[in-house]
Amino acid sequence: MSQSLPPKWIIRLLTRMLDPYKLDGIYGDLLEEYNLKIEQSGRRRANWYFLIASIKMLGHKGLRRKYTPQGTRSRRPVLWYQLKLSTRYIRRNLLFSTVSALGTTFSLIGVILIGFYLSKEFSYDDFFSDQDQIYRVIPVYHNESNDRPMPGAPPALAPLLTGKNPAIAQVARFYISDINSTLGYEETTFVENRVFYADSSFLEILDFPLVSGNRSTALDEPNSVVLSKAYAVKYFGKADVAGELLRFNNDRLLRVTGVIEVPENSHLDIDILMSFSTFIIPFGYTDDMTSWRWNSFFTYVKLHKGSNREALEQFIAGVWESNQDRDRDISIRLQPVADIYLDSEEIYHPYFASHYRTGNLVVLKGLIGAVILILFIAGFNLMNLSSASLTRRGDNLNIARVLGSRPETLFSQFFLESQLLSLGGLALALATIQLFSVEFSTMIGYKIDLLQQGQASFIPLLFLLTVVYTLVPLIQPLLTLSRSSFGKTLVTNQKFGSAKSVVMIFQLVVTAVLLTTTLMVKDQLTYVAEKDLGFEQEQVLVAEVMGTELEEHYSLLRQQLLSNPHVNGVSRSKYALNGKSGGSPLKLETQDDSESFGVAVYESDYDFLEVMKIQLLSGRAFSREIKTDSAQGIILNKKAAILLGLNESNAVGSRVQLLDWEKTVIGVVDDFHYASLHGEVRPLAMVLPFTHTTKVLIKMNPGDLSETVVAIGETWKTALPQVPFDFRFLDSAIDQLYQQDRQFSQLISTFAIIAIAIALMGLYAVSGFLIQLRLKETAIRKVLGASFSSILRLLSERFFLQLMISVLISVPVSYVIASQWLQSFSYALAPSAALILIAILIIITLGTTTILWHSWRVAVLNPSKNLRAE
Amino acid sequence: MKGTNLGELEELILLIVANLYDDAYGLAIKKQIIEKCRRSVSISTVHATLHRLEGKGFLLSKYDDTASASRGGRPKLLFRVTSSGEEALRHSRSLRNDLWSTIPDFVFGKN
Repeated sequence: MSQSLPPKWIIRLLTRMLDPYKLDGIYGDLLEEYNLKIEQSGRRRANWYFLIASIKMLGHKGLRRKYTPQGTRSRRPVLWYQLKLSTRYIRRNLLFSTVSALGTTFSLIGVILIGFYLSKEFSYDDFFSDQDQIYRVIPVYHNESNDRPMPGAPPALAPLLTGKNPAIAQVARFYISDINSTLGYEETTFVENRVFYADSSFLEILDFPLVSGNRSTALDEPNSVVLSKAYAVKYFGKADVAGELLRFNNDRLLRVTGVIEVPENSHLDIDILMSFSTFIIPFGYTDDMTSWRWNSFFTYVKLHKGSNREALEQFIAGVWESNQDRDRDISIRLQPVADIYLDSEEIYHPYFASHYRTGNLVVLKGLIGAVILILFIAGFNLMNLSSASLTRRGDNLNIARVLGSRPETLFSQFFLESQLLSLGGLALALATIQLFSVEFSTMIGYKIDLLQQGQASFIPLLFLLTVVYTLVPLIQPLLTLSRSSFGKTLVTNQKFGSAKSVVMIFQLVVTAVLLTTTLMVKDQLTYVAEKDLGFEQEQVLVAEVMGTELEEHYSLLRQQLLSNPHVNGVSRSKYALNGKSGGSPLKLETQDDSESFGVAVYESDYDFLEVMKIQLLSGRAFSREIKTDSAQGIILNKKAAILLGLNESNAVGSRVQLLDWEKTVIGVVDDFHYASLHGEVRPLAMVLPFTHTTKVLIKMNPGDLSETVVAIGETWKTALPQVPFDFRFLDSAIDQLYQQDRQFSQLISTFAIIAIAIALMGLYAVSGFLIQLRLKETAIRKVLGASFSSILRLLSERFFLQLMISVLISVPVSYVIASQWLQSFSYALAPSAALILIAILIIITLGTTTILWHSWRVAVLNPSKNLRAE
Repeated sequence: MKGTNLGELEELILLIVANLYDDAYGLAIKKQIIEKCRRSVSISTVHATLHRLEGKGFLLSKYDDTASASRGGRPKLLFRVTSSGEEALRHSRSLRNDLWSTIPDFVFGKN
């Protein structure tokens, strides 16, 4: 027979753990079976089998070695006893424990939420390979007064760059057309108000994940279209649709050459991407592909690795200057693709506002600040609470030390306790986030699911963070512990109080500041929602139509709509007051080219001013009777008139030049807010439409809304049966401009509530503790005849003082911080004293209630109760 | 005092120990169970059951003095049924017989 032996460590384990009497018998049986197994199925399997059989054997309690409680060495490790002591202490001091655990929970919820938010904001465009070699060309126009960077470049530039410089690997133009067009497949046809065009190398530079198709050839041919996965499903019901045909504007067929995945964290939100050769210059546009002033083309370049960016910027500027048709002073900036999302504030231009996604650094910084403050508040709470608990256990600890406990043991005991609490807090935070993941997801605009693999991976890191974070506030109390000598009460009442006052004041100040900020943000948003925009946004329907369709049928449609009793007025326009506009240079005819400045251009029909109730300051609106209006009439806003060196009263009749067209000013309107209130109203010029307009504005008479909409829909159907009645309400479209602000407001109020909760819990626990320390004192005073009110005063005096100091500090701080944020709005409320007052009143009320509650409880106690137990 | 009733596996093992007489050790019992009952049972279960039966006083154990190479030189732990074990087995059998005999004929049909 063979004499193979199983792995030694298992034998050792068995020897150690099995009942010594049975050991030989059981081990012999196991070995005998082991040898049989080796013959049957080999050594490897036999080893496994042996291991499993041994573990099972040890699983039976009766077969294991029995331990006797006697003996010199306890079989339980010190840790076990410490754990037991800790849980016991935690249970006995439920208030303290709950406060510190909940503090950790709340602050960790804040950290996790902001962590997700940040990771989303900073992850924009990180999915492009070689993203550090991809740039967007930003031309900067210089004139005497300022530098004007633009996100778009003229179409003539890109072809001149291809292959002309060794640093440039590829160049692609990208154009966003927001002229409505239709796309159809079989019976379904949709109006699409955003279509993208790109050069054939575009998908190689910005390599969106490809579902099907070939990225290097997909945009080569004319009449090729690449769809996003969502749009492939929208039209065909499936994602793999390469080779299918789509009707474009009912006069052309497009071949689907690819389907791409467009991640949510892409600055470009592409649905329909056509080859550049498909692009037809829209009706009425005076420029073509050789233009040097049509700045609507995003131009992306991909550099070879290690190329010099500055040299290339100069090269491009040189190419531009030697080819442009007129003399303009420009320079070139190359914007890294990863910076586009967060760092485009400076190149903001209303025309491009909805063309690519941008984030808000101010909001980001504000939130980070709020979370840091919360971490501080909760950290100070932990510090206060652990000091308090040390004080409370002064005698206890002294006895332990007299009996021979080493300081390390006491430290680790103390450490363990706090870790138990904070890890409990962490668990609670994770559970809360997972439980309310839907609500939190909408709050931060990022889908949270902790059970998902990628998101769970940060949990170990968070674990580490929690351990460190809860350790730091312990340092100070632990130092006190180590320094104190026997016999003395570890931390005396007096000492504890003075050191902690500062901390308490800090907490209250932060809370007051957060509360004020929250109230102001809310107030500003209400203000924005209710501010008079210079036109009437209520009761207006905006219907989206195909440009060509509208051109043919508009007058009929208008007549029919006007005969509907629900309709008050009808006009049409290319842009509908939600931030977008065209743009062109404007100057007085007598001025030099270099004196021109950019104005937003609104192509709006007759009646526009009347329908929108925009106020004319001087002159007149466009009139059907005056034939020259369509070619020469121009209406300026006040801002544009002033920039021309005129004012609202003398501008009418002036001759100006808008791009190439000579016009006569026929009227000046008040500065109405055609874009978000974040920016000041920019100069604006209104002309009668020379390209296709796509929006019909219908002013409704007041009345039952749904009835009105249905009635208008009926009229629409009889007048324009071939075009779907696709409408939005103007006020809700405008509301969209402030979505980011609302998200910010929601986040900041959540954090404010968290902060207030933590700070109050801290105040509650610590003041309760300090007052409890004076139980005997108050009892003696009472016995000696002190009145109820004098005791109340005695106990709460110091806290009131702290409260008042905090209030005094928080007023100016809140004021400064709130006005900082409000500066991001051009039309902001002044930081309001009333709001600061309200915030402070709230803090005072809550704080006072807390303190009085504790004091009252002590003051009404029967003194004999407290003096008895000695 | 532990209960003196017998579980199904306990009864089985007790009977097998009696059958094997002077070679009733863990692995042999396991083999018997597999052969006779065609059910798989692990060596640890056998030992745990043996331990339980010993605790109830139905079995006695002692080491033999042989040593074989395949057991790594370890002796066998042999089991023997005690008189109270025998009594328990008899009791369980008579209980069954009683119950069988009082089943009315029509229940299972004639045989």
